[in-house]
Formats: sequence, C-alpha cells, structure tokens
Amino acid sequence: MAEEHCIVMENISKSYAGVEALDNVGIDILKGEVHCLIGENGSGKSTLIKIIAGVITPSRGACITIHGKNYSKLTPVDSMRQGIQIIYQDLSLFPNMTVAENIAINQLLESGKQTISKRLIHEIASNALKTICIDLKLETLVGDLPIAKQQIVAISRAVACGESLIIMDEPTSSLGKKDIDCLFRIIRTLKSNGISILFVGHKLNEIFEIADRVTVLKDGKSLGTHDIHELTYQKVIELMTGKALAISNYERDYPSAEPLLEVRNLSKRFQFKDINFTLYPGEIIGVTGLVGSGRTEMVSSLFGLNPADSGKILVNGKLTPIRSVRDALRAGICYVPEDRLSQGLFMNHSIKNNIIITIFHDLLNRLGLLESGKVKQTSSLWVKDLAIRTPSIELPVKQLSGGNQQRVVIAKWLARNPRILILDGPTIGVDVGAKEEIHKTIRALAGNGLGIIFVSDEAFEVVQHSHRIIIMKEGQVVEIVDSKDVLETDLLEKID
Amino acid sequence: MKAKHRIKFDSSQNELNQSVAYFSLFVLVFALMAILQPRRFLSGINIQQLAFQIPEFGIFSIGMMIVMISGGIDLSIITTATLSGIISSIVLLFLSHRGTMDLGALLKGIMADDTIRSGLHATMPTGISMIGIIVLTIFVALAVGFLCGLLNGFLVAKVKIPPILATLGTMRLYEGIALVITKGAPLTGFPDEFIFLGSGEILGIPVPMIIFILAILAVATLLAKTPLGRGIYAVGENPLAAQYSGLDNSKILMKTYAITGVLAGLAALIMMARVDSIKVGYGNSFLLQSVLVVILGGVSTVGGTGNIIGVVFSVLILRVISSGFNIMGFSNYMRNVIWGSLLIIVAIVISSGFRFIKKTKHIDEVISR
Repeated sequence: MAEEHCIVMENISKSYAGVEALDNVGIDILKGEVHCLIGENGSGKSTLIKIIAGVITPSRGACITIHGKNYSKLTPVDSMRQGIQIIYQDLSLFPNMTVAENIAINQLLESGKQTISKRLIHEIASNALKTICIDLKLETLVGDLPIAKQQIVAISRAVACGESLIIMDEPTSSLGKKDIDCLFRIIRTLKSNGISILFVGHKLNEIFEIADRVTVLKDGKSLGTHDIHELTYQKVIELMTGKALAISNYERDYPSAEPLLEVRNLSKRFQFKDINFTLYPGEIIGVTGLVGSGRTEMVSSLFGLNPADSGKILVNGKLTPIRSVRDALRAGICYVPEDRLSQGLFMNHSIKNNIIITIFHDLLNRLGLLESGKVKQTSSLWVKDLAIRTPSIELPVKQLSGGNQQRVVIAKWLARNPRILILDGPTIGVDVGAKEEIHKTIRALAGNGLGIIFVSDEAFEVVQHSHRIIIMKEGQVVEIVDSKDVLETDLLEKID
Repeated sequence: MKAKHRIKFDSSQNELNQSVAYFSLFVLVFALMAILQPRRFLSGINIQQLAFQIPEFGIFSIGMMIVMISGGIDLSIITTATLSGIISSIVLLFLSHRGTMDLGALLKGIMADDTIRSGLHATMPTGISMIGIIVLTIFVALAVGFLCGLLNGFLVAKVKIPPILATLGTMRLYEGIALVITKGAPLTGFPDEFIFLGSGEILGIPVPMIIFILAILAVATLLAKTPLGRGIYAVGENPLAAQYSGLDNSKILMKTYAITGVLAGLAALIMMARVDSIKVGYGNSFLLQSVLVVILGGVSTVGGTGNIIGVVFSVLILRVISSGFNIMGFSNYMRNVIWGSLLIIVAIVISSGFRFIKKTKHIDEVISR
C-alpha cells in the first residue's frame, strides 16, 4: 500500500471555537495521480490543505503517512522536506523581484549557499519554465506581470523545487482558456513524471478534464473519494450542495424599452478599439474573451477608471462623457471589480462599513453626522436582501467566505440604487453553490429593470445567464451573439 | 473569559474589549506608581503637573493618529506647531505691545524697509480689546497650522510623494522659516489673559485639559460619525478600493493633513501659554513619542484601523510612567534604557497579537457554513 501512496491521511479533525471545521476526514493520494478536492465554501478544503502544509495542527488522533513515514502532526518544514509544495490562490510571490529570482528562491534558500550567482538563478528558472513549456522573460519584475503569468511563475517555482506532491488551490480561477490548456498540459507532464497533484477546484468542466479521482467535502465531512468515471456533472453538484440543481438557460422577455446605455466607437489606444453596443433595461449582456482581450479595460472605461480616448457613451439617450468614477456614479453606473480583495473591499473593516461607503450622503442627520440607526438599518437590510451569511454586521469582511465577500461588494453598489451594474468576474473564486446564488441575484436585479454587463471567462456561465454575449479579442468586438443561438463549445472556439 | 469565542467575531465588541484593556492597564500603571511612591506621586502638585503636561502631548498624538489612520505619517507635526506658535506670538506681542524682546529689532531681520515697519505700526488698530487680540491669535495659530497641513496634504495627495518623505521635507522647511523669523531666540512676555489658556483653571480643571477633552470629542466624532472620517479609514485601509468606491482620495488626504495641522496649531497655543514662551526646538521630543503612542494605541502601522480611545489611554499611560520615572529619580540615561526596553516589549506584544489574529482568520471557514 505504502508503495503506491504519496500521502495517506486518516482521522483528520479540526475545530475552531467549538465548531468542527473538519470531522474525521480521510484522504489518500496515489503517486502520479491528479486528485481533485472539491466542496463549497466552508466545507473545509482550505483547512485540509493547510494541515497537509503543516500550517495548522489537526486535533488529536490524526494519522498522516507520507511516503510510508508516520506523523501525528506536521510542521511546515516536515511538509516541505517531504516534497509537498502548495500554490495558494494569492500565489505568495515577491512582486519586487524578477521572474527568475521568484522561481529560484526556494531552492536557493534550501541549498544553504551563502552567495548567489545570477547564472545559477537563471539556470534554475529556465529549466523550470522549460519543464512546463512556457516562455517568460526572466528579468521581468513579477509585479509587472498580469495575474495569469504570475500564476505560471508560482507553478514554476513549485516545479523548480522538484516536489513529489504539488497542491494547487483553485489554480485556474484567473487564467484564460489557453493558459488553462497549458496548465493542464503541465499537470499531465508532471503526472507522467510521477508527481502527484492535489487540485482544489470548483470549475466542474476542468475537474472532468483533468482529474483521476475526486474527493468531495461537505460541511467538514468527506463524502468519499470517487473515480472520475463514476461521476457526472449532476452527481457532483448534488454531492456538493446536497440538493438537486436544475440548470436552465435564462428565459427572458426581450426588453423593449428605450436603450439604457449606448456605446459608440469607444476606443483607447493599445487597449480597445471601436466598441459598439447597446444595453436595454432588464438586459444582461455577457462580455467574454481571453485575459488580455481588452474586456476589463473596456468595462472599466465605462466606470471612469480608465477613460476612453474617443467615442461616445449615451445614458438614457443623453450624451454622457465619463472621465472619472464620479461621472460614472452620477450617471448611475456602478462597477463590481475583478479583484474584490484589492479593489472592492476593506478587509479589516466591518460588513457595515463596507456597505455604507458608497452612500454616506443618504445616512446623514441634520448636523451632517452619520446616523448610527440608519447606518445599521441600511446595512442590515442589504445583508438580509443578499443573504450574506454572518452572525453580525460588525464582523470584519476578511472573516467571510469568498461568496459572501462578493455579495458585500454587490450590496455596496446596490445600496446606491444604480441603473447600470457592471460585474467583472463576479464568480471568480466562488464555489458552485455560492455561484448559483450570485447568478440568482444577478437575474433578480435584471428582473427589476437594471441593465447588467457581466464579464466572465467562463463560457458556460455567460451562455447560461445572459441575453446577449459580446465576444472580445485583441481589443475588438469579434461578434455579438444571442445566447439562445450559441452553444458553450461554439463560444469557446470563437473566443480563441 | 467565558464569552471569549463569541467576542472574537464582533468588531464592536472587540473595540469595547480593547478599551477595557487599555483602561485596566492605565489603572494598573497608575496604581503601581502610587504604591511605589505614594507620597510624591499622589501629591496634589504631581497630579496637577500631569494634568497640565498631558494635553500638549495628547493633542499632538491625536493629530498623528489621524494621519496614521489614513496610512501616512506627519513628521512635520512639531515644527508646524513651532511655526504657528511663532507667527501667532508675533501677532499677539505686536498687538498687546508687551513684548519683552525688541520687536523692532526682530522685524528688522525680516523686513529691510523701515517705512514698511512704521507703516505697519501706523495701520495697527489700537482699540482692539484683549479678548479680540486673543481670539485673533488663536485664529492665526490655527490658520498657520491649517496651511502647513494643507501643504503636506498637497505634497502627499497631489504630487504623490510618500508621506514620510514629504513631511520630512516640510519638517525642515517649517523649522527653517521659524528660524529665519526668530534667529532661534525665544518669544516671550505674553499677556496674562493669554497665559490663562495654558495655566488657568475652570472649576478646578486645568484649561489645557478642557481643551484636550474638547479636541478628543471633536476628533472622535469626526472619525466615527462623518463621511470624511469614514473616508480616512477607507483610504488608509485600501486606497484602491476607496477609489473604486467613488471616494475622492486626494481630497480626503488633503483634509486629513490639514486637520492634523490645525491640531498642531492648537497644541502650539497650549505650549505657548503654559510656559509663556515659544522657541524653535520646543516639543521636539514629542515627535517620535507621538508615533509610539499611536502605535501603542492600536492604530495599524499601515493605516486603516485603530480608534481614539486606545490612543488617549496610551497617552495617559506613557505620561504616568514618565512622571513616575521622574519622581523615582532615574537619570536621563537610565530613562532611555527603560523607554527602549518598553518599546521593544510593546513591539513583541503587538506582533504576537498579529499572529493571534492570523490564527483566528480561519474561523471564516467555520462561520460561513
């Protein structure tokens, strides 16, 4: 048994403040397999991988066997020495260092050398990049790279360490299709070299493409490990959410009112060119394209963050130049940014203070001071409306799960009562169940007459949840298609 | 202790807990000093001295706190006070004709032309009442502080110089201007009515203490209850998210530094009135101490969090300890050793506190179920 297992974990339990985060979970990873770990937010996935990393100590009685060696608990050093490397979602890179330095750093530190030669660094880095068949300029600062490339650097770093188990925490959440294909190629290469991969994910199509076996966690309990061939989409979703999920395309009444937003010949040098589209009240327009297709640049120009050089924007038929965020807000345009952690939230501040940030002027009393009654009432209302799960509106948002954090960002904008809501990747890093709820929210908002621009790189969800789809490529609109007339697979082809 | 696990989830509860902790620490330190030196520490004179010393330092500290919450720092806070003190002193001495130093000679340094000087004298209103003069002096001090702060804010928010660099520059600039005006000489001989601001008492409470308490209330209200205050927290916590939320970051920062400047001007008035003189170099030791107190008071070193209660109690704690050292007769050298050790202990507590917070972070996984 021990021969073919890379790691076996049994009786893993962990509780915080009396609540069980993991309850007697077991998982075994074979040598050279791609093992997927899936589950909703709060199901205990992160706790489990942190235990493998040795960052968190499991409760008593845990039994961990790595390469035949027994541990009752791991330290981070044990874990690393045993060849376990984790690529966290935040990548843990050094933005001020070059690609080569980032890739080589672990190995250099481990080697204990007192001096460092640039040649050695470059050698380590270029070897690692070669293994995963990607070409990156070694001297670029990592902070200057787009997030997709940064991820590749993080993966290369793990590869450079020559690991036996690489754990990837939602590695595809910020990658375009090409990059994902490349990642999967890398994973297959690693697998054929006998390296095991624990792939923590939530995009089902990817799991079905790459996994050998799947372990499903729900509410801190394991629902068993299944061979991928035994599973179907429906089965996995049912396991994860505990309920049968009906997937249906968005039925719509075609909006017939006056156009809410008209974009004409919108252009910005080096970013996007001649963008034309019209958004009607109650309509959801999906915008999709690869990373670097100009979709984020385009939508952020509508919010005044990245004003366009030329072209016209009409709101309710009136010419509305948008040069700043204030212009956009005045026109009733709100924006849920792509990176909610750095652009959308004040992590250490309470849910309440995050929500009211956009609506101070509505909450003032006669003296011009914020009225705590109104503040509480308004924020509680939105917490309830968007079903944000929290024991208190005073809880810092950093303690919420990804899906709940995203709803706080949405709440902050809905509080302003906008007419047009731009959502840039609203379901990135959010699990199936929470995703479904965000989709429901978006549909309900459109039902109330809002115009919604919904940017996503998941073709599946764009097709499911929008009326029309703008496909962008290299800064231009390739095509605007009706979601009724398009299949997910067609869309993927058009994007590439 | 029983309810500990619940409290961790709730930031308002946390704030309350924190305040209780600071208060207890204050009582502890106070009691310790009282036990060690009961006669001298608890003597009326010492307590009164404390009550007169705390306000200047306290006002500097809450000024420093505001900029630090916004994610910056104001190294020019003391020289802002010096400059506003000196300019307002000149106004005060000029109008009250009571300068013990030769104002004519002083002004000769600045204005070469005699006719301007005499012209100034001629146009000077003679019938202003003392109240009017003092109100004008206060106004000038606060206005100079405001302008100094505004320049800091402009450099930080518009020119986008890192706050530590910008205010390091203006620190020297304001000090330089003050030196050009006075050549380093002290200004003294203020009218008694003005001295009242620094050493008077109302109903047995020292006037500076009253001013300090009013300043605390005003700043607490500003931070907790106004859009600007919430904006300061937001910009300090995450400037990008603030921008994406439609806040005008640079306007908020300009106002932040201007308010700190005004507080420096206020501290200058108390300082002038307490010792009946103002001079370049007064209060210099407050600069780093105020940064220390703000950090002690629980303001994040990168901005965004912290509240005034913690800072005010830290001011009290630090002053009580300092006064205790005085009484116990530690030498200046020994005092440095003790301060340094204390700072390191605090740093250890703060960083282990952070480690503790990191551990509790994972609770989200449990909660979100």
